Amino acid sequence: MRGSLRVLAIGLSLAFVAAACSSNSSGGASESPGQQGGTYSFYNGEPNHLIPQNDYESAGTQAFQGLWTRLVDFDPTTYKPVPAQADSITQSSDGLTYDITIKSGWTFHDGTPVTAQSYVDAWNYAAYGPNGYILNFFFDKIEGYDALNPSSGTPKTKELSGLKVNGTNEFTVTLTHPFSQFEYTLGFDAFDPLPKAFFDDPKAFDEQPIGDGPYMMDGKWQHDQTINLQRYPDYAGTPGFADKVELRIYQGDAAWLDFQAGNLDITLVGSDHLNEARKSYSDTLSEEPGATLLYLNLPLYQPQYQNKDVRQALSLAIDRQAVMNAILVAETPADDFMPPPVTGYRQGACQYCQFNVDLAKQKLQEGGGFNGTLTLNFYADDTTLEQAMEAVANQWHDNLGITTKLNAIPQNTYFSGSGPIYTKKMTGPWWDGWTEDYPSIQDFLEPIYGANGGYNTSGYLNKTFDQTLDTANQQSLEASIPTYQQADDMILEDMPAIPWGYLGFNTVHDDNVTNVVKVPGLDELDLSKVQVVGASGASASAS
Amino acid sequence: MSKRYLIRRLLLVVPVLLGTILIVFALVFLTPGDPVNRLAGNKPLAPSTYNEIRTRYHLDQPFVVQYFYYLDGLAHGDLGATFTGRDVTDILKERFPVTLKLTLGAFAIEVVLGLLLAVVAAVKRRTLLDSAILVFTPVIVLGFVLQYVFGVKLHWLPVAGIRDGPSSYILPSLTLGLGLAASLGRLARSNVLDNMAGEHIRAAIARGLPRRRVVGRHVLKNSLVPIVTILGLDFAYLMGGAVITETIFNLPGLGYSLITGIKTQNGPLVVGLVTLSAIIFVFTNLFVDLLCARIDPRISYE
Amino acid sequence: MSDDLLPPPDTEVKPHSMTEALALPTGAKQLTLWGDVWRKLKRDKRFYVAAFLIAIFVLMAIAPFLFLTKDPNACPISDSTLPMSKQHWFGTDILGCDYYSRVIYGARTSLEVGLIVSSLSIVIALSFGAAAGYFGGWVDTVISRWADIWFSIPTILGALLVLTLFNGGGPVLVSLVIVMFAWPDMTRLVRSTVISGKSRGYVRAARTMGSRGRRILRRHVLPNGIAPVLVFAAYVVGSSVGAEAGLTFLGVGLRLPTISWGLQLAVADTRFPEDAYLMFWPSLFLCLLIGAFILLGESLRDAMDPKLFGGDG
Repeated sequence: MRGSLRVLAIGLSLAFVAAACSSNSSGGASESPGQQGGTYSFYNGEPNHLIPQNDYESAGTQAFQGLWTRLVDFDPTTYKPVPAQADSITQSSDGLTYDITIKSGWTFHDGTPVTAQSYVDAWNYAAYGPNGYILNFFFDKIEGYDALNPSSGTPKTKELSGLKVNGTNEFTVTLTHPFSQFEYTLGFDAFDPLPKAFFDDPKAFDEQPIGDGPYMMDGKWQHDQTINLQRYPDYAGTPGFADKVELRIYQGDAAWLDFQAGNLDITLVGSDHLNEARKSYSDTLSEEPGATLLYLNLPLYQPQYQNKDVRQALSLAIDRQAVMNAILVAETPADDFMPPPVTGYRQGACQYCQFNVDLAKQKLQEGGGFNGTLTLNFYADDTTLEQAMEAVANQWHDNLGITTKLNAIPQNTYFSGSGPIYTKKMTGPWWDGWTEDYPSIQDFLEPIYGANGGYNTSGYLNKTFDQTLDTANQQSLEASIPTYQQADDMILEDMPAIPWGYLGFNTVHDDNVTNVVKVPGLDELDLSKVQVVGASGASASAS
Repeated sequence: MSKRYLIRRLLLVVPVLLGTILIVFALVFLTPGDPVNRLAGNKPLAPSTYNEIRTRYHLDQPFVVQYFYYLDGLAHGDLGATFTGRDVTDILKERFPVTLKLTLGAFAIEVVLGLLLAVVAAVKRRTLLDSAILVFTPVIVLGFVLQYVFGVKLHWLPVAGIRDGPSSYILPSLTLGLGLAASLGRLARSNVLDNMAGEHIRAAIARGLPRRRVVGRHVLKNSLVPIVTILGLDFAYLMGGAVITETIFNLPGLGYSLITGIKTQNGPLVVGLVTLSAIIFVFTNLFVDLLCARIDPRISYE
Repeated sequence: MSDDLLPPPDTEVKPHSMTEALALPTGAKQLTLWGDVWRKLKRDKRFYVAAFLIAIFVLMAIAPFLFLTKDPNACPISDSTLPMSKQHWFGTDILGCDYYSRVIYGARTSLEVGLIVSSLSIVIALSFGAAAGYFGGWVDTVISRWADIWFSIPTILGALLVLTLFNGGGPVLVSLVIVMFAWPDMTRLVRSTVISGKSRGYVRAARTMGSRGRRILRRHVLPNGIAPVLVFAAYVVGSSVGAEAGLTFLGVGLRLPTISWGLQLAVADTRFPEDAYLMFWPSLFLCLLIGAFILLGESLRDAMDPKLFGGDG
């Protein structure tokens, strides 16, 4: 959106970004030649940093998708983790230790080898509090994290006690508690390796990062203009097709206009232009479910929202589809507390997410009605979102007779750790979103509704729920999923929040390129799969 | 125009600039919200990370302390850094040429077109051209229209960005320049007409001096003072970074940078940008005054 | 040779700002009486056009029901983004509201902003400018330097900054913020008018006869200062309306449920270029309103300048 930095794509009413990960094709399988060569351009935002441990936003992670190969990717159907740069990951019987062996013979873009030490050094650096790295908290499950992040004073050590290098290509990770989803998290860029060059000069590295992925930097990062990549000739995995990739940086509507003018090859399509894209670019438009759940969070600490029936009524009274048809075109109505491309998602699980005015009225009555004015909060600076909020408020008014009011809060306050959301001072529902860090059901349950969840801003407290999560965390990866689903059932009944919708990951492209595909489980374009039409090399057949 | 006056003007620049910096700093500081937490989206930052970044940028200090840290840096030529670690000076150095090119482009259009309109309208008074100068289209509208017609539909010119070299600046310069040309044209026309109606001019024409020469040499010259003043103001305004135009056309200039800085509450960046604008403005003003004094010796500032 | 053609040196010219350059043509003589001004206006076609347009807009603002066919707040979401038709002359907007009604309502907000900004600016300019000009000395220095500080912060930049502080607001707040950055210009204008007025014969004469400072200010100097201020005020209305639209477009100005052209442009931007009609109508009205005030300013200016129409004033 015009002016908003943290946007997944232009026109999307989304400001909640993180990334999950994946890399290119599941390693090892050989691809048919396809077309090698050529240059293509793709829309991107301006990242905060180009160091994987220091940028959380999609602008950064999309770049990392090309510059690095992550430890694991995600299976296209089950979304379970599959080794990528890792060769094997074995969990100990007590569930606390993971033995990770990486593929040998891989090199960074500067020719130095990728070793277990590269991983351990990188993780220690990010976990070390005084470095102030944004993804520091990703390491909080590893033994030794607290020593590196004391509440006061300087840490006495710079290394996590839970990390041990066992050879050139092998290292072990010991956690403080068993965590069945740990392997999922390894697909996140926080766990990418770093070459020695990084430690010599982190600032210079930020301008021209050196990864181990299919693409390397072609010159320095040109702030607010472009990040240019070129194929890394010595890549040990499946090479990318195109010779060069331009990640062009845009703000506002300019990317869409540039695409229409034929200057930009691939772009993301948000709510604002999806209707047009469906009409005029239907042959290249790809709409896929994305990894974000948008929802209306509720202040359970306020008396009006403490009755379960009232909450259910509020959810039943909104015609999500109508608002999406008119305004938030890139979204689909939610039917669970997590989006489809996540292990554990069940279609139609949320019975109170259906639009049913009569039932809503009934529930509201059973719950004792709603007193006073309902203030609907959302972050400012997103015109499309504001329109949508107006529509929702109108629906509550028209369908349930509730007096409503809108409140646009400036983003700095909205997302602030000392703002009303985090300090539990909200007076009404607020627009919220959660983009996964990794495609696991646990990621959508524990952080938001768990008693110790880092993002439990609604105040939800349910001991049985927490116990179920705990049990699941200790089980094996396979066994844990149904257990998590049991926990999901609890909140599907309790409705501590109102699931709204899923944000689509939609792309369009021109005739210059083909094979424009999304990374499974993550909201990223697979940069190495895109083929440039008419490039030198064997003629087209998509792999 | 005495040296004493010049020195006095230069000396007065300092308190004015300090005052401007203080006000802008205060405005940014007072804005509620937390710039640091934004770095992680809506996921919570680890407390250690949060504290570390805050301490690094003195955000845990009271306002006055932060202000003095800033002034201290300024005295050493250091304009501070953004919260992602980039030097403000580097950012300004990157953005400055873009805005400069846009300014020069728009300025050229303004001067040439504006003066042309003015003279033509003045000479052919009361014709349609007279009123045509008064067409006013806000920058927002003009920007979109030009971008759509010439960029998207006709493909003659780039739609956004500065990738295509000089041609990237054509549409944005037109967007800004046309409006400014129109207002300059109006102002200049009034002045020109004004001067032409002066007795001394009519006397000269009555005496037989060729009309065109009179208009060209003398009338224009007399009108120069207010025209130069306005051009100076417009130049300074343009150098402040035409925010809307840069946003519409995705030009990574000073104005675009400012919007980003304000929205992310990047104090040092915002203060740096506005200070730069203010400096340019003050010195342009001074220059214009000096120039006017040279053109019209009757002007005295004492 | 060129010296012959300089206008007689009877004024002190100190062009420090656009306002002075605008409204004080080199060699201004004492102003004519208001009756003359009115006569001149009546002969000026532009005045009629301007007055007509402004009258329509004022009517829209005060009595929108005269123009409305539908309720601007009736917004069934199923009617979103309908094209222009007999039901909806300008189509509907994204929320399903009748666009024509919304655009008509927008006039009220714009005029409100224009009115507040210009009247407040006039008040501030007349008081501070006159004080600075008449009393001179340290009063002048303090006021002028304070004005300089605010003057050197570009209006849009400064307003952006302040409004972010308040997270946008209603028309009153936005107007106040625009005034914050607009007052120095007009104040300077009054100041220089007062300064040139101070030395006029009639003032000296009045002094000799014993009139005291403030009285002279009020009865002799100020009335002459008002004319250029009025001209400038007309321009200020135009530019403040434009500024509000720009600020709202950038996201810091007015917010829903206020109906403003700036907001409509912001929304239209998201659907541009597909639903171009959303951008067209508020733009047209905006241009007409601003244009009308500029025309007004022009005609006032010409009417108040004695030499322009060939007469000797």
